Amino acid sequence: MTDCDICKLIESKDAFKVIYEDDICLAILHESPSVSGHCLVIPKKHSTIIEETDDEVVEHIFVVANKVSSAIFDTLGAHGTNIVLNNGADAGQELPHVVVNVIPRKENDPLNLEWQPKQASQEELKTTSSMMKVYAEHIYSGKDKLPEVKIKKEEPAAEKEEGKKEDDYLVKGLKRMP
Amino acid sequence: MDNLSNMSPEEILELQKKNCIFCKIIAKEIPAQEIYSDDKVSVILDINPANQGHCLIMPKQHYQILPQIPDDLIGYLFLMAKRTSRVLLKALHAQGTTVFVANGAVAGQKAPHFMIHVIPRKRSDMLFQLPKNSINAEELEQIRQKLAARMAALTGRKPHAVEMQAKPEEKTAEAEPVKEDSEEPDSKSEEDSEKESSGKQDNKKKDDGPIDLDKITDLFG
Repeated sequence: MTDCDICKLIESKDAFKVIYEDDICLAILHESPSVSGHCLVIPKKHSTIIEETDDEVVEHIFVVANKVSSAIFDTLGAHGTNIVLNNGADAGQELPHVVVNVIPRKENDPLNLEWQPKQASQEELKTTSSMMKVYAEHIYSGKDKLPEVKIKKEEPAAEKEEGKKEDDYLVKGLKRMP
Repeated sequence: MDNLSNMSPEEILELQKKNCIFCKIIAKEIPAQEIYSDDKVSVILDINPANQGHCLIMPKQHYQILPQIPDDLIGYLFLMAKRTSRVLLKALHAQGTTVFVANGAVAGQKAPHFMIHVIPRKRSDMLFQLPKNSINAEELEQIRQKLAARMAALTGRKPHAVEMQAKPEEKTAEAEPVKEDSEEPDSKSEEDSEKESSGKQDNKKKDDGPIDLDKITDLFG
């Protein structure tokens, strides 16, 4: 945890241009902003990616990100804001600590955050959807927790659940075949 | 258009809802690939994805932009974004995800129904990058003071470290565009300064002033 540069900076707060602080997070001004007024909301407790961040912390940092966004509307004359979380190095995350970007937007500003939309066929969408649904129920129910795995003595089935689900899915898939 | 101007805000909102394509998707009047749904949110696949598996997380109730949504629902929506991200990592073996919100048309918002995009990422998909620029320390500190004061007002907490770093005059919690006002000589008559400030407000509206949320949502036309 102490290896994280952001954690170190959080300890020596003077390093940041802080605009808001509470027990859970800091909101700061980015010192190498995409545009002037670019803010970051940073949870104090270390987590590298959002999947590791406690649920309550996730809820809180985005409520604060919305407040930062409102403050940007109110004081910097922005006509829009973007809230961006790049999760994982391949998504453009630069430091191993969860950081939420809040970015003021104006007409004709130099930023381009638009992507090239692709055309997905109904078939593709269906396939993607069924791949996701294998995990969806389990994960959306909140049962799927990353850090602490509770070991229940009665049934070692708990850890196999995923495998089982996959099996179920495959079985269903097989059944569908003529 | 004439009709619109005669309508009450409630009626306009009602009309927007009626015409909102995402409200129709949520009501299942328009088909979509739904990944998850409960009484508050719906998660569907974007039919024009940035990458395969691009999800949209929407509140079932119609809101246009994030600042209109109550805090507990904001928390819940982003908790669902976290879970969606996890589903994408597991099911599609995404190498990362981007959680993206656009508030307002200038930010790239395409539809007048608030949504969170969760986009699976692959190395070098070149979707977009946040550029970095340098900014001078003085400007940074000026912005910091404005935002810190506004954050204090919005959250009811003490302005962060304003006492330590700010100039002595900066004590008010509600620090709006203080700078120019404080430079004005006090000797002016009340009438004059009133005129002055109202003129300034008009100015502000034209260029850089705070814009009301209604205006932002109006940008959708």
